[in-house]
Amino acid sequence: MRYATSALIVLAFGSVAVAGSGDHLRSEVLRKAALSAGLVPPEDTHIFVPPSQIAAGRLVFQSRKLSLENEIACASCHLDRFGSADGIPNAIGTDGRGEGTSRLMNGGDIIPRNAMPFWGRGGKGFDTFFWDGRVDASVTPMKSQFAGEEPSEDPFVVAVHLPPVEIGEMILDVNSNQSLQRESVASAQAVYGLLAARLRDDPVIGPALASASGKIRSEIEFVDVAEAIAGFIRHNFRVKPTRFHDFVFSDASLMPDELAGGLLFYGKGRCSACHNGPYFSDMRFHAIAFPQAGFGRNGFGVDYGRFNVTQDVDDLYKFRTPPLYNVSKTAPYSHSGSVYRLEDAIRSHVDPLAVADAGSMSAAERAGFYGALKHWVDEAAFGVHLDEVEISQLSTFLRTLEYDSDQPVIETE
Amino acid sequence: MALAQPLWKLGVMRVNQTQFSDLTYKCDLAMRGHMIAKLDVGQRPSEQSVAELRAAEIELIACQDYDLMRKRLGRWGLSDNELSEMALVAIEDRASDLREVVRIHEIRY
Repeated sequence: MRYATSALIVLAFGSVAVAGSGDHLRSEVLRKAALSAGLVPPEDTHIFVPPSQIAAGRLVFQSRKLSLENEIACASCHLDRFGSADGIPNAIGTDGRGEGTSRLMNGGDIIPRNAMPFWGRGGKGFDTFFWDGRVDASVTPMKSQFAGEEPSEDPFVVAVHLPPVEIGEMILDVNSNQSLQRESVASAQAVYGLLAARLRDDPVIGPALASASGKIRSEIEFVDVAEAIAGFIRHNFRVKPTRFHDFVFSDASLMPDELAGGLLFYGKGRCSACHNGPYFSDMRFHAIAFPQAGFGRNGFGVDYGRFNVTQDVDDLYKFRTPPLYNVSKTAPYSHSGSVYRLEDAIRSHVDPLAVADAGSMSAAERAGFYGALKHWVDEAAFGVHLDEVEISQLSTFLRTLEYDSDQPVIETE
Repeated sequence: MALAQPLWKLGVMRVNQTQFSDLTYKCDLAMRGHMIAKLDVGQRPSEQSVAELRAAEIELIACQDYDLMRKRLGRWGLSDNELSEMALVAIEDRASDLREVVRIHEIRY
């Protein structure tokens, strides 16, 4: 009876809802905020890649011959159906089989971080790579594990050098590979030599690499392979026009919830404090107290993040701000993939205790979580209150950043 | 007839109270956030504090929504007294105990 009365009242008096009012003002505010935060037209982020390099890079990207034991390809964990990531919390490298949940169930070597998608990677100004920024060209000289012996001046080419020599990622974690465990430059060079020889001798990949590098096949080195892979990723996953670009640069309109979400992104949510610039990432390092999934890079449910690279205590629990293109396609989220829903990932930024299940954590995991919380209090997202509707609007806004890659990828022998 | 008008106003208030309460809270939050951001720019000027102020300014759009709703409720015939009553209900919605009510109503100088 009470509800019937309410319904009648609504019919009789109507609501004076304000949603949608003043859309012109809101649109202009949002456009200016996006430009002020560094958004540029997609083409301004592009670096030209010759077609021969794209073709050769795609072949290598899809081939298991890039791994020492012919175990795994880039395309094994960077899949179109998961937005160029793998759809599981911690990546599974060598010995892994299948895709998505079946890969999770089939065992294999666990890499204690979430596989990163490729959108925008290697574009202009994209100079910091991996969750912990272990390749960082935002400073001069560039910093990386090569410690002054970088194989290229292009930081993305340097970044592409790392997965093929990472134990458990593309090299089997077995006794016979113990000499590679040190992951020294010398041991890496030995692996690069073997891989380059195998790939240049391949009847399909060899000629393609020769065409891309302009070298005769016998002179092809691993840096030529890495340049081809980087070229393919750089082109195939380059930033392309999204609905939000159309809104900002071509005066297209957004739906009311998208508009509201955009204003939250640049306003109340404080998202753009870190998710800014052409890629929606400041390329810097921040502590968001996500739950930890898996053993963690530092063990027992702990991942110190950027600290592992710099040994600076201010960097504890910090990770590079992830870019946001196609973020709606790349679940699960966070450095360890501990959060499956985009809405929960957003909530974790402002209200981590609402997402973390402290009761299911071990005491050690909780200690790590408190450590992350300690650093999180200095972040812009601290102290922000977003309700369910606002989190939903933010999620809706982020879906305006979707686009597709040029070519599909598929793992080959 | 004399009874019809108060009933009608009660209907308008009841239908719109939830949204009015939400906007009251959001505007209050935005204004407090803006004040703190402005003070921060003065006390600790930096790129970060300026960016925070810009974000806080965008957040103030919530107050535009609040003001618009007040005006529209006025057009539906609600008086300032009745709008104040709706604002008090909004505050009570968020108050968990008497201390909240005291905080809102105590004289401070």
